[in-house]
Amino acid sequence: MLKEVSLSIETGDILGLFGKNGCGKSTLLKMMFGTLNADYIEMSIDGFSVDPETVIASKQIAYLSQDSFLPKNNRVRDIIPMYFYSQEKQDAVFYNPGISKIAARRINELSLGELRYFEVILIGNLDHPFLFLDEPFSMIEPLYKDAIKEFLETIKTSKGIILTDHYFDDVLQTTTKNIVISEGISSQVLSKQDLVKMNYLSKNHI
Amino acid sequence: MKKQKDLWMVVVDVMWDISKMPTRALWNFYKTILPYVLVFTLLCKIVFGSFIAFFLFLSIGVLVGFFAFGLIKRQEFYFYYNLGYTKKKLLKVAFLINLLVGTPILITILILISFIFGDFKLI
Repeated sequence: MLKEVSLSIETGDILGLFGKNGCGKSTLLKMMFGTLNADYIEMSIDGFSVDPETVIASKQIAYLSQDSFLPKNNRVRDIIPMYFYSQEKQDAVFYNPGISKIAARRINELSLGELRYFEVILIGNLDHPFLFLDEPFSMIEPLYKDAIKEFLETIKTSKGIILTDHYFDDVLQTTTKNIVISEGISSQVLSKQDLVKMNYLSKNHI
Repeated sequence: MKKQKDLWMVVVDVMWDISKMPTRALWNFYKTILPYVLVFTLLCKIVFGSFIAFFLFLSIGVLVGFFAFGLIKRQEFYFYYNLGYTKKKLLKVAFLINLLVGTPILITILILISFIFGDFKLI
């Protein structure tokens, strides 16, 4: 599926990853996160080679999967201390305006927007230097999309972020650079026109 | 003798790992798999009797719970991955909690069953 994909991110970057369904965007993120084996993958952080199998244990990457990963029967206020030791971090999440109003609710009682927002806030506040977001904007209301974009803008000063979503306008508004994967090969995207050239968008979208 | 030392080192290793981890999440993981482990153990009790059920609970019970979790709540593994817990680490810690906490819970349940049905024999 993936033949020749190459990318690099630095602290302060938000990289947008485009591609048609099934082109391997999520596969690529999972391979870098270490939950999917690749035939061949080469990764390095700060010039040091990194084995994807060690990424989880070394807490290098926080990963927002396409489907919700939070335990359904737990309450929001009970999950926060599971993720953060320090009171300061717990308060930062708990007193976030979007979170405090849902704190008493169970995960399975949240709307899709509330759930996605909480997930992004939760993993975005971890100390991991990289953040991978697989479809953070999909199917959520505009209010939460804006809140997520605002949050990513805040945390990008201390992280490198990779973001993939089919809501291309939201992605382009958020990212600092972009690539598209087509037929297993990655290419740089400098404008919306490039997405048309790579057959990701039709001309009607411009 | 060497085997005993190795086992001891593994226990120390796991305890050291636990001391560095936010334990609430680990406890949450164990709570999630415990019902599967208990159902498996009670089925074993019906089929094989209390002694073998107790042995299976201590030996492969957590593995069965872990497998059920993977089937039913596969996506929730990411909750623990983000905290730095690999599947291997979760399994090791769950095994230890099962030994220390699960055993008294199981004994209590088996005693309660004996009060209700009157056929409890641990050995």
